[in-house]
Order: sequence, then C-alpha cells, then structure tokens
Amino acid sequence: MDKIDNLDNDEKLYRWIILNELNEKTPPHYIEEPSGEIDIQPEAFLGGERLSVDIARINCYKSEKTKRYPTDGIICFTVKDVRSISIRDYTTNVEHEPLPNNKAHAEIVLESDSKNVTRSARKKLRRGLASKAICKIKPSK
Amino acid sequence: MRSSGASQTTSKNVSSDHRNTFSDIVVNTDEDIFLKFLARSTNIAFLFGHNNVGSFRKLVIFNPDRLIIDINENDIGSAYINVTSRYTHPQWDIISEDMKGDINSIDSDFKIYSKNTVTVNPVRSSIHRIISDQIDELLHKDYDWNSIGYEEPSERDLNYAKDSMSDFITTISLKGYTLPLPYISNGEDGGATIKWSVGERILYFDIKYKSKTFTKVWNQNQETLVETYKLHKNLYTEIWEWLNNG
Repeated sequence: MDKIDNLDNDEKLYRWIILNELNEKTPPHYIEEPSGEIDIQPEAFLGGERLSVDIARINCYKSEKTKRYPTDGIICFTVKDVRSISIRDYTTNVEHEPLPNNKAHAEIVLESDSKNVTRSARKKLRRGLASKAICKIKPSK
Repeated sequence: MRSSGASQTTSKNVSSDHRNTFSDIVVNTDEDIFLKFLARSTNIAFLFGHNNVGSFRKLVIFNPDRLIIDINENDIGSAYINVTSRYTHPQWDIISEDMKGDINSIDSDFKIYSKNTVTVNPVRSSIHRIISDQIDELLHKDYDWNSIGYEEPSERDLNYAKDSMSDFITTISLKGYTLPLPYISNGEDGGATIKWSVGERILYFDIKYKSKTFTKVWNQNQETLVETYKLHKNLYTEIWEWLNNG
C-alpha cells in the first residue's frame, strides 16, 4: 500500500495497552474504575519521539491486529483528536508510515518550527492523548 | 497518650478567654466527608465528620486548649473527630497528622467538652492518610526506569510531595470543598504525579523536591488544551475551582 500523504481527520487510530497484572516494568496504562470504566493514563503513550498507532480502516477495523499479546487491550481515538491537542509552540499530527509487516502503521508526531521537542512537550502530548483515548477492548487474561 | 474504648464528654464551664466561636455549622456533605475548621490563632485545624448529613449547633474553640462541640441530639453516636496540626508548635506536639481517632486519642493536654455525651466511632482513613500512603508506595515500584525514561523517585522527593499535598488538601478543605481521591503515580521527573478528573477537565500535579507544577487539560473551541504552570499556594483554590467548574 502506498503511503497516505494527508490522513483524513475522521480516520480512527488504534493502539495497544498492557494488562495491568502483566505490566510490572512500566506504570499502569490504565486504571479500572469501580464502575468498570477504563481510564486511560498518559503512560499508555510511553515510547519514543514518534508514537506508533494503527490506522483502523487499513486493518479493516480489526483491532486484534494491533495487539501485541492476546491479553492486550485496544484504545481508540481519531486523527482529529490528535490534531486538536494544543501545546504551545508545537503542532501535533499523525503520519502514515507503513511497515513491511504492517501497512496500517502510523506515527503521532510533535512538530515545532522554533525548537526541539522537549521532554515536557512530550509529556503534555501524552496527557492530551490520554484525555481523548477511549477503551475499545479491555485488557483481559 | 492514647486510650481505648468509647469516649464520653461532659459539659463543663470553661474560661471564655481567647475564644473563637462558630455557630450553626452545617455539615451538608455525604458520608465520610469532613467539615474542617482552622482556628487561625492556634494554627490548629479541627475536622468533624458525620456518618450522615447533620449539623453542629455550635463549635467553640478556646485558645489554646479548650474545644466545645454542641452537637445535635440525633447526631449523637455517629460523629467522629479528627484533629490535625498544620504547623509544628511546642505546645501541640501531641497533635499531629497522626493523631486521628476517637476523642480519647486527644489526651490530657487537649480537652474536649460537649453538652452531650457522644460516642465517637474510630475515624476512617482520611484523605491525608490515604494520599500519604499512596505516595510512599511509589518509592517501592520496580519499573524499568531507564527504559521508560523516568527518573527514579527519592525519599526526599516523595516527602516533599506528601507535605505539599497535605498543605493543598488542608487549604482546599478549609474552603469548604470536598476532595475526591486522586490517582497517584510516579512522576516522569521523579517524585509524584497526582491526577484528578472532573468531567472533561483533568488536573495533574507534578511534585518533586522543591519543584511543583500543575497541568490543566481541557476542551475548548474544538481544541484540547494542555498547559503547565508552576504551582503556588496562592493558586490552590483557583485551580480547584477551575477543575470543578467546567
């Protein structure tokens, strides 16, 4: 598949989260409220400078393809959600970066004309993303 | 210093010197919520809780060592008391954050009198204690710090976070607000991150030794704004009102 130059705002994006019980090496990706509701934490977006996601449409909305392990959960948000995050001096975007084994692969990027991407800006991005993400599939044993 | 068993208090005439009187104090909160007062002249905060909605007819604080609670008849048996000292004071060293409990736990240096006999239940875990314990737990996390790019917290960072949170809770409670339990996690820069969510607004505190910031996340005009500022004590109330007035 060719790379999509400009993703549509309505494109749905999937990303995996790790089951808390199996996640000992990073802070929890989510907390489960007593009501059963899943509250996504910024730690669900830990990673490098570019955060990997999958474009749901390219995977025919099969979220299983995004899981790394069967116990993983799947969180969902849109390209518009990412672009709506406003961090001073930065813009946020999603770029389609197909991989040989994953044509749906995309990356969330922070861009700035005036400065390098700081640790603080990445933290803000994670917090903004956590506020937009909803849990599509709960992690489960 | 502590004694066990249900306590009884009796009416007693006391000196009227240095008194601060608060009348018609209404507890209009649900179960397990505190009403909190600060006797500014003594730097002592008094907290009173009910199992049910109720009211105290009168509260009289005599500086430095007398307190009267005039409690409503139908609240007898369901009230508890929690006394906490905000500042170190040589006369009050027995009254600290740890002195939570029934009236008996406030011993001879601090008398409590009431017109009614009050059976006081053991106080439940206060938000102070819960938050403090949760921050302590952060020290024992065995994350792969290098891999995730987090600084490992130090005891000094977390002690500072605990003190800061205690100060924040006290300030907000004194304004009459009820604080729900936050979510507490390790901060990226060491220390603790404290998070509250109300509706679509999210508030984060990032606290480590000598460093306090807050981050607001909220939606406005199709945008999700994320802004971080230094956290100063004079902003506590404003921040809390922002979170709750979305």
